[in-house]
Amino acid sequence: MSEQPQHGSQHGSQHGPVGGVRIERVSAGHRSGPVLHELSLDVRPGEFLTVLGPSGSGKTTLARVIAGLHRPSTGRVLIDGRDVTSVPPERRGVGLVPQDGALFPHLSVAGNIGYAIRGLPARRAGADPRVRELLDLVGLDGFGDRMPDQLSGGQQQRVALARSLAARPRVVLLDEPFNALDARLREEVRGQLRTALRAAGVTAVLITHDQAEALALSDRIAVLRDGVLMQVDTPVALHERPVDAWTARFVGDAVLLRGVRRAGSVDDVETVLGRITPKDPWRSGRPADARADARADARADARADVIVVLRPEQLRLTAPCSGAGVDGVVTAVEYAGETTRVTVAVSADVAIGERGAEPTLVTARVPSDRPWGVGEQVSVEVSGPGHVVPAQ
Amino acid sequence: MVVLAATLVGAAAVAPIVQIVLRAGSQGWDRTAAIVLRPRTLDLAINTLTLTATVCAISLVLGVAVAYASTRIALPAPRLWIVLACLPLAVPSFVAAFAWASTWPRAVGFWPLVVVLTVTCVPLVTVPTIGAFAVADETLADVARTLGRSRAHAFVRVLLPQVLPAAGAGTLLVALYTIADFGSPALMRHQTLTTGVYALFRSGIDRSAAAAMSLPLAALALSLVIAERRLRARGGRRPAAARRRPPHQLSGPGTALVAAALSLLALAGVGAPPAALVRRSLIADRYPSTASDLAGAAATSLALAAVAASVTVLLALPISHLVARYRSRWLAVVESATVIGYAMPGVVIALALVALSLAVLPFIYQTLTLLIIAYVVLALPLSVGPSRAAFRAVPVSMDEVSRTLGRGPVPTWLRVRLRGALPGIMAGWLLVVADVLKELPATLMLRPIGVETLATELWGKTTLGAYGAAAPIGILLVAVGVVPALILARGIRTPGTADRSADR
Repeated sequence: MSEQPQHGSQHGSQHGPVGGVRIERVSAGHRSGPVLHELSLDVRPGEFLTVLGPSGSGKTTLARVIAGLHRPSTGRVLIDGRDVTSVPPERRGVGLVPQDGALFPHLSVAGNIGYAIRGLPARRAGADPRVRELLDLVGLDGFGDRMPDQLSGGQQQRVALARSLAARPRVVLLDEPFNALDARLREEVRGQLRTALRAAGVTAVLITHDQAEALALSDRIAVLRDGVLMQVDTPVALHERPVDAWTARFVGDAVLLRGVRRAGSVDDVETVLGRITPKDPWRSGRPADARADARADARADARADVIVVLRPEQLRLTAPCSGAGVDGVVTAVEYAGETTRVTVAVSADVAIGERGAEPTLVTARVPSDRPWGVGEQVSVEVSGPGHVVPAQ
Repeated sequence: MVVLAATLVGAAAVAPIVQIVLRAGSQGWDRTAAIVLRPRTLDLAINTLTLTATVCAISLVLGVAVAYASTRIALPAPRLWIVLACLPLAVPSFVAAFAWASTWPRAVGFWPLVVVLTVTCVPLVTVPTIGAFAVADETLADVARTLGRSRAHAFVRVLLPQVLPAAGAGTLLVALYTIADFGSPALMRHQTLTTGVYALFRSGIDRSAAAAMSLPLAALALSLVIAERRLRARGGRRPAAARRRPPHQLSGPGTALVAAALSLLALAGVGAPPAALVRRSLIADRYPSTASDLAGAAATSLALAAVAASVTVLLALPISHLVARYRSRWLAVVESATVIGYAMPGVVIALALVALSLAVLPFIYQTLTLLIIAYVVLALPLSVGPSRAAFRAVPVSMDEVSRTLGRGPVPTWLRVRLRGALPGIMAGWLLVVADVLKELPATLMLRPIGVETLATELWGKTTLGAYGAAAPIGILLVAVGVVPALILARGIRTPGTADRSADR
């Protein structure tokens, strides 16, 4: 995973953003076994970075390592260039917004926020200017005297954020903070959180398993699988050019086609949906030596198995035998408002030598401008280039 | 450090038992065996066992019936029946026995004692069984009905097995209470192992004999507490998703009948004893209780109880904190050690502490310090239990947030964990206070000369035959006991009521 050089963020405070986090070859685990394997990651000052991974991928452990709540077995954690690996959480300058908010139930909203401010008694927190400023920041002006159980889930999360900012942290960790909220509220609260974090000018690390959330909020996304970083990239790059089939499937809806590059055809890949042009010069799985390698393979008449990643929007369905596409049969239809997901069974093609094999299922997302019926004959056509990744 | 503190407390809790075994063996095991096996001891053991078995059997049946009626049958004011089911716990058995004996002085002995003990002990079965009914899966009974079984068959074969572990564990608590009880068998003139040990101790001739006789008592208590823990662990396996039906709607007369039966039982448990005491206190006596006697005894009781409860809570903190937070075999052993002292009858602990203090710290014999140590040993789990639950209810994420907010481990523990657990810890403190206030045998055996508590004052007046003078003390003791009974009733989850743990 190559990292680009650090640059300033567009949403820092006037003193310039702080809170660069560098994780160097960190391994960590529990009694049940290792969780993170020699993981390295740079979070740039002022950046909103999301660690995205399925449950069990180690993302919460990673957050706890950054916060100082979990001691890595090897490796270092640096915050703004300072090695904090053995610094306890209370001296790290890392704020935490946990899943359930974890507001102290015996303290008022103001008392919760004021908890981080030394020498401020809980009963006077409501009058403290810093507390009022933070309440204002998260849009909860006038809520200082409420008790946590008098707040909605979304309000509790905003208080948790304000509280995490009260200690003026360099980095704020958001550990699945939207999990307990229902879908509609989630969208609203995450917008508010993003705005407040931007205004505070701190670095934010969001932990989530929800790819839609990650794509919507992040400057960059780090995809974590089984304790290993698969890819660190901008949402667009991640969506358009995932490193492998697993990442492609995890980050969004993907159509994965087995493909073969045959002797003589340097660029195009044969798939069950016909010949597809790669987005990038073809890679054999070793990123650096793409084209030369490919030519060498081609001369040797070697078959190179690859996987072509398409997004469902790239598939067009037309009347059968129209010539442009490949014929198939509709096997499932899922109506989703403006679009419809149509799954089509396409027979394996001679071109990839799988005659008689099971038909391939591909899913297209098409405008809901006409009804589709199961059993209907259609022709599937690919528009635009495909992203080619190595076959395992 | 904390683990060491917890371990020391656990070790201190079992020290008296170790001491009593050593003491019994100090004159040779042959002699000890001779005392344990002599006819007098065997008679007392049989008396104790028949009494315990009878009280347990009746309590089990009554307890399950009351739990079922108060949770699964639609009655007006559903919460009221839960509170009524708990309230008999407010009446110490020796106060109930005294109320009985002062009303019908000739009608004492085995069966009256069974009635008194059953009425005061039934809540020990009812309360956990109500909890088990609250999580029992009733769809299973529905399925049994659709498979062609009668309602009675479905109840016995499907619903009852789901609550039996809890009811069984409750019954074992009844057994523990019954074998340990000293005051009520003494007042009802039924000799048991506890009265036997006390008599040997009082005679003062051969305290090794008393220690030897308390060995079977200790062994019995120990096996009961082990059985109770096993059974409770089995009751812990709950169906993944308990589906419940609304309570059964009986016909008008049926509902009235059930309500009347429940009321009658509650009346016998909490209404009759105070009423009898009030009646008796109006009859003049040769040795009247003066207001200053009462106030003095009450003040001594309260002061002792408050000090003992505070010490107990402090000593319970390291154990309850660790057990709530970490899982380890060693901590489980330490926690179980605290239960042993609680399980032991007061006479056994008192006897052990007399021996222990004379052997190790002779200067604390006949002091309030020794008495307070006895209270702590007897009441430690009453504080460990609620404190542990309270600590466990504070999510770990709150500690972590506090740390990231710049507070070190100690301030975090004080301001977040201890503060969050405080209501539960205070509830445990109150339970210990109430337990100490009604403690009789250990107080009788260990109090320094001239010190009288409410319980010993009542005991002293009854041994003088001054029932009229003792009655007001009994009323005071009942009033004090209402507090823990209400705490218990508040904490019970019932079908149809929301989880109250979220209540502030």
